[in-house]
Amino acid sequence: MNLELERKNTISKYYEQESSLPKKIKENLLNIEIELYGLIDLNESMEFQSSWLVLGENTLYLFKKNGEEHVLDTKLLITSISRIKEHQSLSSSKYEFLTADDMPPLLSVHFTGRQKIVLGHIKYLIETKMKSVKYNKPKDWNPDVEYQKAVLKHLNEAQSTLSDKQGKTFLRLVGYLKPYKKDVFWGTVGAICSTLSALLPAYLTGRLLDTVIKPFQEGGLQKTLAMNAAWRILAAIFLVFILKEVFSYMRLSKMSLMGEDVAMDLRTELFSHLQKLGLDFFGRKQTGSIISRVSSDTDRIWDFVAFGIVEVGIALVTLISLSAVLITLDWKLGLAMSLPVPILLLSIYYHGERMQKLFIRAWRKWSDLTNVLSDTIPGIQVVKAFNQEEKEIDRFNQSNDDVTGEFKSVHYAWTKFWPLLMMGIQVIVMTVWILAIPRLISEEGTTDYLSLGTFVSFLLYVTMFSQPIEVIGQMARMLNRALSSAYRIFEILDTSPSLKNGRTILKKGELKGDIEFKNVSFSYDGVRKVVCGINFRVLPGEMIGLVGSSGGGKSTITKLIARFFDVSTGEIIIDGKNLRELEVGSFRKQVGMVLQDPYLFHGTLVDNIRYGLPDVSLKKVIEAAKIANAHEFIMSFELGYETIVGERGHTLSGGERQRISIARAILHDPKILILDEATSAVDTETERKIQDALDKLIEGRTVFAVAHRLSTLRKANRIFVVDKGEIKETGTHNDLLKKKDGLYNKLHRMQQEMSENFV
Amino acid sequence: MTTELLDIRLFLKENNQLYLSGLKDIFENKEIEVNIKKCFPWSHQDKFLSFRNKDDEEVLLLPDINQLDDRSREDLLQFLSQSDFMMKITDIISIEEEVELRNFKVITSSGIRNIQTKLDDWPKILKNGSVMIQDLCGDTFVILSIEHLESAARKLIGTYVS
Repeated sequence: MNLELERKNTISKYYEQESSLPKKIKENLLNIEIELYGLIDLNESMEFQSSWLVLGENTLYLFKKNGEEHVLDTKLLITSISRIKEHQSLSSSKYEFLTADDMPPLLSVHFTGRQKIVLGHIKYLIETKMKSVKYNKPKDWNPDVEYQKAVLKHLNEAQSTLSDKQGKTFLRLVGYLKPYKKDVFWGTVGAICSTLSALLPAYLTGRLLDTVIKPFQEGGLQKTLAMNAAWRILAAIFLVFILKEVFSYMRLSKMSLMGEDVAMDLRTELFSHLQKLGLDFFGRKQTGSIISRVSSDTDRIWDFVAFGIVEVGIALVTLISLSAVLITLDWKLGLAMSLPVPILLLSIYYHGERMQKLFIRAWRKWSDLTNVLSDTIPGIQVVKAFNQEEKEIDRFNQSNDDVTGEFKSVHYAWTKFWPLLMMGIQVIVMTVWILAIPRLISEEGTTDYLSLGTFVSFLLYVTMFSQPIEVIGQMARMLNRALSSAYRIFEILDTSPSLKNGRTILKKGELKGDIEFKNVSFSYDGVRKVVCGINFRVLPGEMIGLVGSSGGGKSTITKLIARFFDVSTGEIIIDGKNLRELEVGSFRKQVGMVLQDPYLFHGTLVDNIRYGLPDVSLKKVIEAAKIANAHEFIMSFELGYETIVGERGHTLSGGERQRISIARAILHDPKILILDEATSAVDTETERKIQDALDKLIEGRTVFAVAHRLSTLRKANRIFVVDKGEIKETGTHNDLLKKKDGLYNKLHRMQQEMSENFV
Repeated sequence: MTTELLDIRLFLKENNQLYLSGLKDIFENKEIEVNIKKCFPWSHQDKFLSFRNKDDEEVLLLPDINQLDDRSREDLLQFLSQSDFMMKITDIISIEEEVELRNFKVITSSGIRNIQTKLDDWPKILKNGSVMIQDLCGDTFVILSIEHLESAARKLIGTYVS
């Protein structure tokens, strides 16, 4: 299905709102170039409606619904708007388009959160036009696509494969069996043969009674002949048992091993794909959720492939063949046995539905319990410091009681149901007995006569009835569970990396480190601009200090340079080329980062230092550690560079971890270096050591250093003061201090006062 | 308990914006346009209101709405009635679950609506007994009283709030 059609279908299915601007409105604006539009889904009385806000080059239009059609209600020139005021309530937002602060608004519109992203874009575009700033729209800008993407953003973040049908997902899952056709074939042959062979012993038992034992007892067969015939039949039964187990082995071994292969393929594909996805993906998905897709979801798929498909297949084959055999043996008893089966299946299905509701309640309580755990275990130090152990024990006990109560309800439900179901099967068996007894004791040769052998076969077949009924009854739940896991796996596999890779591959040493921002804006959520229209150029070898209040956009600028995210508008030029044209991997190899809270992988210190460069010589590792002032503390450990660190390993202090990450950066020898609050979390003595290491590291590189402590930027060639996403001031330390009312001067004064007060 | 009145004046202008005057020491009696954010939007709606200027900086924290004179309070309440809007669920038609999503089809004070939440975002039961559902887009929907819902709706939501 084409992407636009898929988006339209999803909007209709989930939101029941128009998936694009109505044709009539488009016809009304034939000569206008529509830049963007959005749905206004609340009226002034806060009732749902569908009006449309349409942005042209210089004009804003509001079309309101009148009967079946939309008619133009308001037309505003952008130049008449002085400000757009936003009001936010718990269930809606409101934009007021003002011409002057003390005048009534030119236009007010109310809308729900669903429309907020696209209307936020419209607001941004209008504000850009109001400032007469040229807005560079991408070449492939299409208002329909922009509207659809914005409206679906939250939905797609929660679940990206919304339009996939269950059948399609099932077929896709089955597609993973393709490389294992032979195993599937032999596994299926094993399953069918073992099922069919399981039917034979009951039939042969009946034959033994009717053709050997009964004729012998009635004197119609000699003892020797009877014994020979009986041994032959018993031998046949034994052979069938052996064959059945051979076929079972064939089925189990082929399918379980193949299930492991399929799960491994999925895990490999998932993990490789995860490595390609951008930080935006990891930002919106919880780590636990991603890990469970690679671990428990693939395991569930294994279970389904190895046993689920086959179990259900076997159950179906067993039930159909049992019914056929029973009806063939004796159609009256066969029907008495087979006709109630759909009722039993239905009751199992409804029981499953009820259990599903009970499980939802239990899961909800379970999630409350895990919340208590995830609160208190990581925060145990705070709990102890405030002497809250008893309170936390009470909180846990309360949740624990709730969970236990819910799970008891689950157990009450199934423990009542299964005996009832079994009772139902016994009632059917009793009915068969009631129907059979008058026929068993009737004269041989009469139309209703039932032979003992047939009846014993029947009874043996009846014992085989309950298991397939149970399996088929659970089929819907089993299939749903497997398809849920498949959905969750395919959701990741179908997520395209947000960054399109460029074609220009940079060779080692080719990058000079000339960086230019041209009117760069960026937003994480599509609404709130974190970086707004930034322009600057940094020459190779320059060191830039980024200072300003928290949340002002400093770190985001560095993330844009490292291309963790693409700019929303504008361009970043590296050595004269657009950053988007460069191949991400070859570019990032020449960018080094030292972060506030460096991450060390589980492993040795040497492996952590040479992460990404496994072949680098040990001599170089030691040299880098020495430059980073890390060698001495590493050698204080008994195992030196082979000390295990990271999770479950040796605990390093913040300053020690920082120096390991500096050694890592030194070894990588990047042309562009990003230091993000690298010394903020350490004591003064450690800061001095780190600063000393950093001073050696920054030589000959283009450096961006984010810092709160201005003293750490003493070597910066220029300082950018970033506030509310804009660069408010630039200059050297001395230049900026000269601006008496400047932000930098204010920051500097505050830090000086703090240190003076401390003295 | 008597509440001490504050020496400030609030008024709505023709443009529907709320203005604050007074606070001689801080604003030299100038009128400033303000917006309101509540510190406790669920539990103490009339207490601890944060008055914020155009740059979203707090200019005043009002401990209690009763510390305003009658006219100011009236204008403030009128202003809040516009910004306090919250969708109330009056009936539930269906609740369906699919991978990662829970779909509610509900009738609200604004009309019929399909809303989606994540599977692990359970409806929250508030201290006053009402139930809050926050959808994927951040909108809040509230069921004021489960007892007042039709029995079919009560049964549907019961699984999630019992």
